[in-house]
Amino acid sequence: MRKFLCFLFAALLVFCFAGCSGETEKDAPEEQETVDLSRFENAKLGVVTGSLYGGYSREQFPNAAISEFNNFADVLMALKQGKVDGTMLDRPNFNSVKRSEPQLSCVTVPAYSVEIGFGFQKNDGGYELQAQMNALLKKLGAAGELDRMIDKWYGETEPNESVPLDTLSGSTGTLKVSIDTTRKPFVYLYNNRPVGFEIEVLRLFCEEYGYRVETEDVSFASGLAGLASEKYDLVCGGLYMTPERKESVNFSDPYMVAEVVMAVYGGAGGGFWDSVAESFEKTFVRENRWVMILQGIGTTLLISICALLGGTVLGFLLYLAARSKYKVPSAIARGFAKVYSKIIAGMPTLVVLMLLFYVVFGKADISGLIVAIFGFILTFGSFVYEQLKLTVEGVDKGQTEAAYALGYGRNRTFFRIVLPQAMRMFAPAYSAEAVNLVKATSVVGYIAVSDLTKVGDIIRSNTYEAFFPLITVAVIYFLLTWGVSALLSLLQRRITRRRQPRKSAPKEA
Amino acid sequence: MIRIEHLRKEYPNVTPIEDVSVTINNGDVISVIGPSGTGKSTFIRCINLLETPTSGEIWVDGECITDKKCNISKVRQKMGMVFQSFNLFPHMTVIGNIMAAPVDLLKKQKSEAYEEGMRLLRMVGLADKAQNYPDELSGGQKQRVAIARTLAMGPDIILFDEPTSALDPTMVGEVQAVIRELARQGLTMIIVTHEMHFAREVANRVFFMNEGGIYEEGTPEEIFDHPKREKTIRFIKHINAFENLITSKDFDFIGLNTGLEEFGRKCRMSQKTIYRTQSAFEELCMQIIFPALPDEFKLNVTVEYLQDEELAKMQFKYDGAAFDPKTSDNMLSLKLLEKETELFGYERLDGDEDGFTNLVTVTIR
Repeated sequence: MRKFLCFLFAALLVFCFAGCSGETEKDAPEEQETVDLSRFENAKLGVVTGSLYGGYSREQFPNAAISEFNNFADVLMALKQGKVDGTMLDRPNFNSVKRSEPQLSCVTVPAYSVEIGFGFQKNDGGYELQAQMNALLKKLGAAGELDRMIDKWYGETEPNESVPLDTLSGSTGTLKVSIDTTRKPFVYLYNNRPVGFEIEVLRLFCEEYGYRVETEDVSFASGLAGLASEKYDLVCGGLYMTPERKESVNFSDPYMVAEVVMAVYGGAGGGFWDSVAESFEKTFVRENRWVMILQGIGTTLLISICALLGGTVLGFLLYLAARSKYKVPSAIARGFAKVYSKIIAGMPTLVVLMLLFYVVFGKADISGLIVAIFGFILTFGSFVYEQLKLTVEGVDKGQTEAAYALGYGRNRTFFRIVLPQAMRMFAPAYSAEAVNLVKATSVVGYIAVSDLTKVGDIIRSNTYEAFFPLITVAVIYFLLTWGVSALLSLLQRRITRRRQPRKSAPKEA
Repeated sequence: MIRIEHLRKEYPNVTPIEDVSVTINNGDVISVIGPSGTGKSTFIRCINLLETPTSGEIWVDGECITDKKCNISKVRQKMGMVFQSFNLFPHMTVIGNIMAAPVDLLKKQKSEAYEEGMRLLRMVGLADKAQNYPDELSGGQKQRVAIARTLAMGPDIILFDEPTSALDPTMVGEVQAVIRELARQGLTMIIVTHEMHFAREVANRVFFMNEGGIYEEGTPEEIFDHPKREKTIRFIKHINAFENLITSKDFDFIGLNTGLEEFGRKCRMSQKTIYRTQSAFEELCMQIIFPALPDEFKLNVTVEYLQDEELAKMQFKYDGAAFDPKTSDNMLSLKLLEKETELFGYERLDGDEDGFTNLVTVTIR
């Protein structure tokens, strides 16, 4: 075990080295003016999958090699390592990244610009909120307030300012707002609380019209889906108002039209150890991010343990109902269990969770955490039911007959003779599935739950550090699953425990 | 006392028991014998309702157990069963297996159940295995533990479903000895078995099952020595004699030899006699008679063992032209044969009911 941890740590260092020291040979940072767009004609360009920039990049540089990444933190990493030569992004985003990556420079791509605004539902309530938002933006714009805020949040220095949302005391009602905190500087976390230009506007909006807010941290794509199912009233997250989105989303007037720039990386600064220390500081220490990581671990553990216990109870109850001697309830339970386990087993957990969150409980006011626990109880319960059925059937029929012949009744035979034997086969599979369960909880970020994985993503997109958060998350998952399987194998040994045969029978008293 | 009235058991495509009515008295030890597939096991599994009878009534000590209102678990506590495949509980120790039911069902104190369990283990000779797990025991030991487990409930009746069929020949004796001991103690027992000697010596009544019921019933002497009905006669004759009809020179020689050996064991022939029987067959049949026979022939071999005189009698009957093996020019085989056998006679038949025309009789001691 200790050896293995040493190995992990060594691997971590190697990764960091690879990550931090790539392209150290590059020249000193070039000035913005000297970067010429023609240099990207045959270059390697990085884009985020599904973003506007994929299309823009292909249009502008038809000969360039385009690589797709899952999020901007990954694109930035690739840029730093020289895997890509440049990437397109909007000016506010560039300014924000530039604050922590001084080696970055950019050139404007004049062919494009993006309109950024807030998203509302396409219904009467949505149109009313939209009108209110437009009025507010107009008022702020007329007073020059909007430009001041844009300078503050999208400028070249970090504002380090909090925007309290919990002191709102309006009486008009409560808005459900989806915020994507991976969209720095539009919406992000500062001291583990949401801040950013859009959050400040949101606060002014609520003060103006007397709303209170409840925020849920989900990706803006999930937020847009939640608009359609009327889960959210308002989506914040630096939304680009593309024609396609306009079809399903009711946008406010754009609060800014941002220019599009091409970012390039100009080389690395500082030594290897300096950058490791800095990465560590950014990931864990700055803004008390370790608290977020602890909360993420707590959430992951909470979901895992609840699902483990709840699913086990559910699976057992279902099985007991199915084997009941009362014909009608038994048939109902068996039919239900069959359909249920087929359906649940036939779908990825993520899809089950999304269905529950956005469709089944779409309009109900239920937090993602509850839905996640519920969803995992369902999937784990289906596993427990199926596995129980399989292992109980695996016990020799002669065992039941022998118990009956001794005078045991139906239930006693099951609990005293059959179940203990089934448990020996059940325990190892259960233990393996429990480990899978812990890992499977990593998808709950999709339904607004800040578990360990999601926290890692948020930290990555706030710090633009890819490696430290990723490796931290990996090691923590490893330790969690290791702990769970160690605990269960202890339990398993108790179940299948067998005394050593004694040399001779004990003396009778 | 068990009274069975018009018991019938049907399965979707076979009816092993058509109509059985019989009374079993307290203290009876009953051997149930008969060819395979005649419902012997089904019969005794119906008595404790491990198989639900299709129709008919079973009364145990004045209680109708086929009645829906009867608490069958209570009845089974007084009616033990020993299975062919032992069915010990693998997750419990030997003593655990024995103590489980008395503690769980009769609410006995653990210490009391332990004492009683150890007494029973000593009775079956396995007290030193009390703390072992079943998979550490041999088949014979397992079956003895299973018997002790059944006895721990203090049953009035014990059903034995082929208790020695799954055992190595070497382990049959130890289990039979335990059952014999129980018979001496006056327990009511019903034993399904293929071991005819055991069936005969242990029982006071024998049921011969055939044609969906008890075909013939009687004392061991009546059934084994003086069977009355045709199928019983044929069955008894078959168990007392080994018979094989050969119609091709490419017959299964090894199979026949193994059959001879099994038959010899069953009759408790000495190993030497078995060997002599086998070699007499090889010399006489393979070396002397076969070369003299045409390609189309039939030859019948029967072996009988007369236990009182410790004599094995072999008969070879074959058709075709007259041929006396003594006239063979295979001097080596003749010499060997002379050494192995006691008596060696030839008889010309006029053609018996099966059309054989030659008879060779050999006696081996």
